[in-house]
Amino acid sequence: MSSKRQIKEILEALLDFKGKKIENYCSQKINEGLQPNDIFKELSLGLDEIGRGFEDEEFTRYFTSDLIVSGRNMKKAIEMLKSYFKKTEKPIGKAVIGTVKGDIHDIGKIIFAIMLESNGFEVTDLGVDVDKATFVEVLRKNKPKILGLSALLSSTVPYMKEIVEELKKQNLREQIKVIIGGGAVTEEFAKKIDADAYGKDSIDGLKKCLSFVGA
Amino acid sequence: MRIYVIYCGPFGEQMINNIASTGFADKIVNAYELKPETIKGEHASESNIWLKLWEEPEKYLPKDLPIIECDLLLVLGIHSKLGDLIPSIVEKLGAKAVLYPIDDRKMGPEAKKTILDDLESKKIHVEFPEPFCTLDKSENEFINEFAKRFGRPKFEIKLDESKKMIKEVRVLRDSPGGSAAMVGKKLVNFPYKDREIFLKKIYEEHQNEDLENSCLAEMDPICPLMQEAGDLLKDAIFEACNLPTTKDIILKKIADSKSIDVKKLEEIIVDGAGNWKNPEKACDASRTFYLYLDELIGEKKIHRKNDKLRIAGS
Repeated sequence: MSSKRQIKEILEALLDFKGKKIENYCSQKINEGLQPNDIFKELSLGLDEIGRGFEDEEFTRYFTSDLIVSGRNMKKAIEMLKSYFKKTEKPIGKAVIGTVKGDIHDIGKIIFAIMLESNGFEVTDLGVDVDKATFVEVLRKNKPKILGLSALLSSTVPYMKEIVEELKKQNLREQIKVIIGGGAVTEEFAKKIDADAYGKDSIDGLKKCLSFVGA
Repeated sequence: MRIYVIYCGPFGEQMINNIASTGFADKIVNAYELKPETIKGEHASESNIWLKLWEEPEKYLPKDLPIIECDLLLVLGIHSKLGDLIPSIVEKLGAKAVLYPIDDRKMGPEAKKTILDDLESKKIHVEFPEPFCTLDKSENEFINEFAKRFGRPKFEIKLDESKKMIKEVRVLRDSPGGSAAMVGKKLVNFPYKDREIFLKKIYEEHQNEDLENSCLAEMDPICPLMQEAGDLLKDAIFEACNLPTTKDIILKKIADSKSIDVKKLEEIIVDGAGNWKNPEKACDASRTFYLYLDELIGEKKIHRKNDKLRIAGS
């Protein structure tokens, strides 16, 4: 667990609207010999703190602007650290992921993709605002073991159900494990729409995906 | 004009950076970051600090707050519980006007009415634009001077009529955070003829979170301030391109129907689902629709009786 001073440093890096501090933070940590996964974990602590501060009804410490800026800086960090991840020679499994139609939020999904890749998965990230036809087309072509769906907005959550229904209609559901995640979904909702799993965060999601491929 | 800024977090930093880098740097006399932790730290042994702050704000002013006289106090993104400190800060700084934008429901001071009454009793003018880029003009000279440069976006756009492309964009008034200027730059050499593509480009660039000066307002459908900001930007661009704005479409719909129900017109005009194909879509947020209705009524172009709208004089 990081100390108060470390958390302060992480928050300052994540909340710098110019994005310079996050670059310095990542470079410094790499130079100190820290592994990219550990840097992610540290930064994730900062994101969690901002998320908690945003949702705290009694004492809201962060606004939408803080979520946007910290998300943008996290993406910068991911871009910087990507090249340091060691890719395994033979992938342990294939995964296709995307943020569902109507939703353009992707920070959680990007972190999840990185976690999967750094743990041996071959990941096809379809990006944001992805419709069911695109998912079906890529699933047929890539034949992955896992499909990851993400949604942050509650208004876009029903579309996840449509996608699962479409997989059944297209006879794809049996071959694929569906995992859902994002701020707007719950474990209960995952069961309701007949998804195989719910990832409460990227680490939880990764654990479940590893179990899907028996790793 | 001398501007003192009380701010917190990246919301305030982005505004200060944009305001300072586009010609107002010499007007900013100080920028102070007001954090809840500072107040907590200075009164670490006390309990119920926020309740006490509300009862006795002068006692809880941060000890390191530089006292520099100013004309306009700009309050950007501070914690809602710290809004109670503003009247006391105004008094210390001798500010004559306060501009306190609310770009997020959670940014609004808890005791907004008390602050308003308190400042008005001291003859201090205060405005709470919601979102900041709705600021247009003010009866107060200092806010008005600020609003000439920052607030509701305004452009001058030159078109290449033969290629149906945007040739040049000049920002007459930038949004305070700089997103209008940023989107304006992205539109140079962009085709304007296909309405669907043009709309998509404007809204997507405005909400492009990866850009340094992107809009940072709340986007929750319950309080779509970012969407409203996008509508105002889109209409400023459309107006400068001589394309029909939301107001033009509202006027046409009312004129065509002679008399129309407000709710029915809202259903036609507002489409918040990002459906750019809808040829009748004029704006993203209901808030924008009602802002324009109020303006059109104020401009005496339309008349509202109960829930029916008519063209004025018809």
